[in-house]
Amino acid sequence: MTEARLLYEVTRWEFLRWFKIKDQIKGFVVSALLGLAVWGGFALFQRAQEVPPAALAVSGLGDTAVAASVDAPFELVPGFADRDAAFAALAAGEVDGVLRVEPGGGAELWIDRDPPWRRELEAFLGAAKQRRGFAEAGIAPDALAAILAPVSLRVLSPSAGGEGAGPPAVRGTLADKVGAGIVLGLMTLGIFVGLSYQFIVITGEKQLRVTELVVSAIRPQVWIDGKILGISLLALTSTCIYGLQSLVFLGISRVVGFELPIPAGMTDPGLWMGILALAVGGFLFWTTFFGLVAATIDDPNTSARGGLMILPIVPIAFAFLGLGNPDSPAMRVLSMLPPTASPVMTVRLLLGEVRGWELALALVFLAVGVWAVRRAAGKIFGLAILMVGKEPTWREMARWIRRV
Amino acid sequence: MESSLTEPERTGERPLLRVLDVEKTFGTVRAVDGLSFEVRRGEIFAFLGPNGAGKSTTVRMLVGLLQPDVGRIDFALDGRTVGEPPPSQVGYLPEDRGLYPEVPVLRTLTYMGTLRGMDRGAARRSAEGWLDRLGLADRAEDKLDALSKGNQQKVQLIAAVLHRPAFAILDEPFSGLDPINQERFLDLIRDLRDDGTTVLLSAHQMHLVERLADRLLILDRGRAVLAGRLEDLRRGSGGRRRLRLRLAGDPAPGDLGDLVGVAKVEAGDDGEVSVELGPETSIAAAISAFGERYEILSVRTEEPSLHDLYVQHVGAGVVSERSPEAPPSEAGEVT
Repeated sequence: MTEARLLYEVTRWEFLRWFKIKDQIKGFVVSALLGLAVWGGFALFQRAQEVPPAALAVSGLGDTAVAASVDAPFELVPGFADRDAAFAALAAGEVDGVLRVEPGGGAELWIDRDPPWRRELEAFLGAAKQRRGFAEAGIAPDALAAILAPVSLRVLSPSAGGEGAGPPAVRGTLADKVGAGIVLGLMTLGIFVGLSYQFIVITGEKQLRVTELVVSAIRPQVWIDGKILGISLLALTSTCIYGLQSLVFLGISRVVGFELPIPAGMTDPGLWMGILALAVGGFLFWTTFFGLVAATIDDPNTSARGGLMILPIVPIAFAFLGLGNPDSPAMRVLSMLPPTASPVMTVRLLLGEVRGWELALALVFLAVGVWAVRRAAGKIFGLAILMVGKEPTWREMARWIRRV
Repeated sequence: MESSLTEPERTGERPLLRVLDVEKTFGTVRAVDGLSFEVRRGEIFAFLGPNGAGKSTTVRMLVGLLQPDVGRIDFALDGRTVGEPPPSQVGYLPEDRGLYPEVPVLRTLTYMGTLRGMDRGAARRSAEGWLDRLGLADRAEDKLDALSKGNQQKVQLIAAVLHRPAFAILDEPFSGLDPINQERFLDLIRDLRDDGTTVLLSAHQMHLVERLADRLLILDRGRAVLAGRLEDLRRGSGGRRRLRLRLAGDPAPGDLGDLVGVAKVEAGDDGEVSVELGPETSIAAAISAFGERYEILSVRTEEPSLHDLYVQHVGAGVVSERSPEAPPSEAGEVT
């Protein structure tokens, strides 16, 4: 049997050993049900929060101002000539409170509890005061409306769209950042799925004493190559499934009325191809690196090397820190380094300006990095996997790597 | 150590395995020290020795997990002599062994077969056949950790041989087995040999090895101290012949020690006395001497057991690779 065939068999074994289609389907269904429960519950909660507007007996406010309170969370009830009449209505339960606006601009609200719409009421009274002031200064209502109308700002991208194209899109909006955060989250999930399984697989096989049986049959390099491919495939599959679950969740959100904005460029297949290549490269890099680390661990419960598992947090943290300024010099450099390229370049693709050669160069560096770590991992794996009762020192490992 | 022609060399048959002056050192410990031996095609060859004698280190060098510091290991397989045999031709049951506890047995065995060069279908069929043969057909879809320890041992043995290797190396195949399963494993290993697989096994259970091995090699501190066919080794052991006698009047053992040629006398369990003869005493002379003094009701000779040979040689630092009484053709493989 050729080594390529053996590699396929090991890859297939490692993938199918952990990929349980029934569990994945169950997870998918649970995710959909969870989405329904969360959003449905949220909608029900919001509905339960809805209360009829509070009725306020108002005096000292002009009719125009009262009419302007149509969409307010309170209802102004005019027509109370004096304070006693208003308080009589309050005592009779005809209104929920009494609002007295004084000519100097002050106001009093008599009510049992501090209302949740207090800020809205203050804003309303402030606007009413402004209108009254402008009116007293002789400014016509139309002119006043024009003065008070908010500025409408459209943000357009000169590089997007074109003659006859749809509305030009601009990157870096809040929706884009949320989208980039979700993609980064999925990538983080994939990386940690991969390294966790790689860790469990290799330390487990050492403890189960499977290693001698296998290494007597195939070369250690073929074995770890198969593990890297199988576990990376598992990480990729898990990420895709979590991505689909996220889409189901978002779809359900739309159905129940919570429309989340779709980031610009998310429908570009070229963008997704680039992200997919970076994700695959990242999964390969970290599963290879942790194959190397796990082979040197004698007892995962006590080994200090288990702490290395948090190492992939560093590039992920850099990527999140770069969401605000994805094309800074630091982000450009980090997007070229194999350990950080996957998350950082992904952020730059989604939020910044990346030239084609930059992406190509980052992928080449990533491939070279994976290859180099794979060679070192193969050597260390072959020697360390058969060690029982002790862990090789860093110096020993460095010596082994120099022989590669 | 003296070098000489071995029987295969005289007969022209090439041994399947030839180990020549192999040494292996770990730090300051020499685990294997100038070891040489041969394994012939179609035989069951046993390694014996105390813990730390170098058995497992030698086995690991044979399967390529370790490389010898000095010396050569040659396999003659497929008409070629190679230092490292193709995995498809070798089966290996390690001393430290385990399989995947959370995976169904048949799936694990199929995978192990593919690693040894079988295609998946053939590996599956072979695994099913072996499971059936060992009474585990109905457990094929069970996870390994659902099986008893004895059944797990069977599965591990199947994993080592399901690809029908030309040469099977079994390191401590009987460890952890109850007597019934030990008997089954004995039959299984004999069947393997009868089917054409050459077997090298390392074991501590001398009463089993005695019944199973065609030839054996006893190691101590990395060196060969005894090698050859068991009957030849018994004949060549010298000074360890015994008689078991039943004598009229049941004399006490102490009354017999003064007889000429008697080295040691012990009382047996059933009224017999066990008499160890001196090296110069013939059996006929001893029986004659007893007959002159007592009426002999029954007499039988008793050969030294493998256990006796083992105790006699291990730790004594004796290198008895060739007994003067044994024919060189049978006991001269250690050079």
